[in-house]
Amino acid sequence: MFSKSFEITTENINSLPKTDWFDFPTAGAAVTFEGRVRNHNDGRNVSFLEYQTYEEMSVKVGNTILKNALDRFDITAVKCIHRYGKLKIGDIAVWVVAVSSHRRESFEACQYVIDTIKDELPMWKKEHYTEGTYEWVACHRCLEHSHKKHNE
Amino acid sequence: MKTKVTLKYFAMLRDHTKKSEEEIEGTFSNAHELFELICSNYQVKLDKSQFKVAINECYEDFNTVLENGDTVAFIPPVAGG
Repeated sequence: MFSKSFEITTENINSLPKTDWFDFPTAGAAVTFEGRVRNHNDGRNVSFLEYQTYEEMSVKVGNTILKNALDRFDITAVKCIHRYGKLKIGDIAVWVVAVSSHRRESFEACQYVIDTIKDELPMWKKEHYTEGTYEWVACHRCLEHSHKKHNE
Repeated sequence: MKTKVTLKYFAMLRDHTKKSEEEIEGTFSNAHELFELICSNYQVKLDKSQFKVAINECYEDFNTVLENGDTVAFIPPVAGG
C-alpha cells in the first residue's frame, strides 16, 4: 500500500509524535529531514521567524509534490508537515519522511520533496533580526520603486 | 466588459497593500493586465519577473484569461523549508 500525507500546521512540530509513520512491514529504510530555525542568515543575527502561507493552495501544491515523489521513486510512503506562524530559534519549520524497501530511494525522495517544497510551496518567511528590523526572505528584488521612494 | 475577481495578497504585497484580500472589478482580461492595474492602484512598481500568478489555487501563465469569480494571487518568491 502506498501512502502520502501533507499538512500545514501552527502546532509545534518538535513535540509531535512521528515514529508511527515509519512502521511499514515492507520498509527497510526511513529517511527523515528536519528544517530548523537557525539564529543567523547572510551574516545577520536572527531572533525569530514568521511564516505566512496561502493555506488552500499550499495543501494542493504540497499533495501534488508528494504524489510526484510517489510516482518518481520506488517508495512506500512519504509525509511532510510544514509549520507556519511565529517560530523561535530551534523550532522545526518543516519535517519530511520517505519510507522504502532500500535506503537509496528514501534518500532521493526526501531530497526531492524538500527541494521542490522550497521552489513551489506558497510559503513566505519573514526574518526578524536582533537589532529590531525584519525582511521577507527572497522578496527584496520585487519592489523596484515605491511611491514613497519617488517622493523622497 | 468588466470582470470581477477576488485578489489575495501575501508577504511583501500584503504589507504594501495592508490587505489580505479584496474584490476587484475592472476591464482587465488576463492576469498580466490585473497585475498592471494593481501596480497602478497602489502606485507601486513591481518587477513582474519575480512573481508567479495563481488562479484558483493553481499556478498559471500571466496570459491566462480571467473569468468572473476567479481567485487570483500574485506569488512573490517563495521561501518555505
